[in-house]
Formats: sequence, C-alpha cells, structure tokens
Amino acid sequence: MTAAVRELPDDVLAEVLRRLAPRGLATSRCVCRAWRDAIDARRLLRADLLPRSVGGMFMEYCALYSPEFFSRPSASRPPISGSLDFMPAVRRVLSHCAGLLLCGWHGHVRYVANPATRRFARLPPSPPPTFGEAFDQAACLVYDPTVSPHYEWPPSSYATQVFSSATQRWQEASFLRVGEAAGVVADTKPSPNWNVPNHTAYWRGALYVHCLGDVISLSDAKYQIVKTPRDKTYLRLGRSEKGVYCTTSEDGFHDLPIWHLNESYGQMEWVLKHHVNLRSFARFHPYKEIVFLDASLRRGVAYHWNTAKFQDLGNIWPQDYGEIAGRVAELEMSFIYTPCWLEEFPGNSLETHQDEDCLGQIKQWSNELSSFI
Amino acid sequence: MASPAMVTLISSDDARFEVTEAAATMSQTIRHMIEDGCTDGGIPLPNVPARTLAKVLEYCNKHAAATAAESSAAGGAAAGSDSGSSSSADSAGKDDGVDLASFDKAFVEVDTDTLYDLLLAANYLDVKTLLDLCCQKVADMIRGKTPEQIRQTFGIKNDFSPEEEEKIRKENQWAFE
Repeated sequence: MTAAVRELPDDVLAEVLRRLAPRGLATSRCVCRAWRDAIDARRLLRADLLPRSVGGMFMEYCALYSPEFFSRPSASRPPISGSLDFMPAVRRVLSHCAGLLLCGWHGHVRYVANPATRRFARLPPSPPPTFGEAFDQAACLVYDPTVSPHYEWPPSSYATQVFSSATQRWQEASFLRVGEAAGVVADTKPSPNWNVPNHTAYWRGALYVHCLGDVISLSDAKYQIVKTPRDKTYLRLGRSEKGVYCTTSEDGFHDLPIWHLNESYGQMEWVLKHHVNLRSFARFHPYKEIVFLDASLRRGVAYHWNTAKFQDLGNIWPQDYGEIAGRVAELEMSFIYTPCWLEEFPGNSLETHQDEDCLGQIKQWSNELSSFI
Repeated sequence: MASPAMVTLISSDDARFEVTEAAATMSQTIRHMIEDGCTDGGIPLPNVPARTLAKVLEYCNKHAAATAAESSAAGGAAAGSDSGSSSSADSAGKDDGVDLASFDKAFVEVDTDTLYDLLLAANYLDVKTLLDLCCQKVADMIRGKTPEQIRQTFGIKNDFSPEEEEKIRKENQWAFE
C-alpha cells in the first residue's frame, strides 16, 4: 500500500473535514500539520461557539412569571434573554443540556430552545407514557453539539419514547438493566419534580437521571441503577470537572456533602469528596470543581471545594422582587447555563423560529460574576 | 429509437472507454470539453489511470441510467434504449432511491488507496455527487478515532514537533475527555 506517501490536495481535504462535527475536527487537528492548517485556514472548528464555558445562571422565582438570567454582561456577545421572550408563552424550564433548554408544562406542548441564538422548535406531541404518569415526570434533554447537531428528549422510564431531531420521529427505546435491580417500584419514592433541571446529568455519552429515589445511568440501550449514597430525600445531580457529582441533604442537618460517582474498574459508587458547612441548594460548575450556592435568600456564592474558598457573587434577586413577591419570595429553581452559539439548530417541520430582534429588553442586574467563569 | 450518443474517454495509461454522453457528462470537466468540441479522437484524461476511470464510469453509468429511467417513468414513456447495454440499467427502473443508496454504499466499500484515487478523480473530473460520496466516506472513517488511529488508517506521518504536539493537544483537550 502506498497510502503513506499520498496527500490529498488542500481543497479536497477541506471538503472531507468540513463534514466532521467539532469533536472530530479537534481530533483531526492533532493528526498532522497539513490537517491542522486545513482546519485553521478555513476556521472549520469554532470551539468558541461551543458550550464550553459558563455564561451565567437561569433562575425561576416564586411569583415571577418567567425565569431570569443572572450573568456578568458580555461585551462581545449579544445579551441572553432570561425571560425567554423570543418564544411563545412557555415559562418553565424542564431540562437543559449543553446550552439547549427543554421548556413547557407537564403534559403540554414542549419546546426546545437555544437562548443564545434565540432559536426554538416545537416538539411534536409525545406518545402516551408507557408506564403511566408517574414515570413521565423527569423529562430530559440530551445534546452534545461536539458530536452531532441533534438533540434527543428521552423521559426517564426504562422502555421509553425518544424524540430525535435527526429522524424527526418518536421511537421506542428500551434499556436493558445491567447490575442490581432497583427493588419494588412501590417501595421507592418518586423524585421531587419541582427541581427537574438538577435531576439529570450528561457525561461521556451516558445520561444520569435521578428517578424513583436512585440514580439511573442510561447509555447504549443499557441502564444501571446507582444506589444513592445515603437514604436521602434531596439529591442534586450535576456534571463537573471529573464526571458526575451529587449533593445530598437531610432534614435537620446543616451541611452539604458532595459526592463523586466513581466509575473506574467498571464499578459505580459514590465517593464522598467534601462537606460544605452550609444548608443550600447546590449547582455544579460543569467544568471546574466549584458549586454555586444560595447562601441566604439574596446572596449567591461560589464555593471552590478543593481550596475550601467561598466567593461572593452578589445579589441574586431581581429588581423589585421583594416588593412583588412579598412573603412568598423564594428561589424555586436554578441551573448553570453554558451558552451554545452554533447557528445550526435542528428544528422540525412544525415550527422553527429565529427572533431577529436580539436587542429585546433584557434585565441585567448589577452583579459581578468573577473571573472563574 | 436512435442509439444514444457515445463518447470515447482516454485514461492516463492510454486505455479507451466508450460511454454514453449522458454518463460522461455527469463530469462537469468532460461536459465542458464536449461543449468546447474537443471530442475528436477521444477525450484525454491525463490525471486518471484506467483502473480508477473504470470505477468512476461504473458509478456514472449507474447514476445516468437511474436518472434516465426516472425521467422516462415520469414522462410515462417506456425507455428501451438502455436494454441490453449494461446490466446496471436493468435494475434501475424500480425503487431507484433505495437501489442507488445501497449501490453508493457498496461502491465506497474499498481500500483506502482506491478511495483516495476515487476522491482525486471525482475532484478532477468534477462529479459532484461522487465527490460528496467519497468525502462522506472518508469523514465517516475519521469519526470516533484517535489521532494515532487516523494516522494509521490513512498512512499519515506525524510531523509535529513534541512542543507543537503538546500545544495542540492542550488546545483540543476537551475533545479527549
């Protein structure tokens, strides 16, 4: 074989490479100089558009109609609409993954939206849940733009309907159990559904869902039950620097243990990493060992658990919120948002939109998100 | 019915190929030569060896026949001109889409060397759909591999200095997580 001495002309090589998703391009840049130069000369790889950094935090407040976005204003990017004002009146975020949001109400029309590019698509109605309503609580969105521009929305049960934007179709996907059984369904507690976006994590092609009291990992048509570290009611899942993490909290205890899911040696077990001396909801920074906490009703805090350092993020209340909400003032839900600026957005034939008016009024609070973001 | 117009193509190693004009003009390069009247005594293709040209023409014959069958079916007329001229025309009448897709898939199931030859020929001859097909195939072969596996597959030498490699690896670290 003489392939060793053969090279493709630059333009032909570029034709090949432009068919690759960002992850394939990043790998190809490492192959040889000619490949790197072909990619760089044409700017085929736009890593800056990928959801690789934290843009801020979405928050839903009791008594407020729409979510708010808490961020440090950026000079180089258009502002992100926290209120999702580019969409029809859909004001609940059910799930999020890599810069895309799944919005809607339970049992109603659902939308997939990209707040950064202000595009959204309405999903076709899903078939009725296989095992009844209780199993359909955790709707989750799976999206990895470094591999494919397409997203999927699988609810969490074990034979389930999955919508893929690649096929534009709902299809039944069943997952075979690996390892121990979960126990009798009637014995387990359903997860509290008021905090859905923090009940899923997506890491290396596997989806982790907090469901029925335990964590279920789904990948390649297999599922595995991961027992919760302790029998706790409140568990927050998230991905961070080294994989999947969770925090647990128990009534009456004023601390917050942070656990890491150790998946080495084919085992899956929770390993205690740290204790935070604070009662709070935690959201994990997706790329660094940092948790975001709400220290009191009004202050946001970032906690670097390796160095045990706290960092004040400032006031996390929207303007006039105290007056509007009065005694019901409460942060209901929040999640860390990594904007995805890729223009490619697979919609469907039903409805896809892009709002050209990127200058819509967006509330920016006078907060400072510091340089770790 | 009149027999279809034929042209003669001459490979770099002087092999002569007689093909229908419909198949030959799937190549924009050849189409322009025919339009310019450069067909006397055959059309020389100095960049394409016989082995590769035969393969490219297999592709063009198949696709040109499918296109002809499709347009005659759409027009409601029976196309008799192709019968007996090649076996590929016989199967082209029904389920063209499915048939062509499986033909295409099988067509690029070749060794890397042949695939490179096809890619270069499709580029030179400017056969858009064949170029797309080959580019997609090469891209599919890259997907999911590590840089070292890609080098092995395509016989590429790593010409980065250790420093360069370290730097580039760092820049793309997220892709290896």
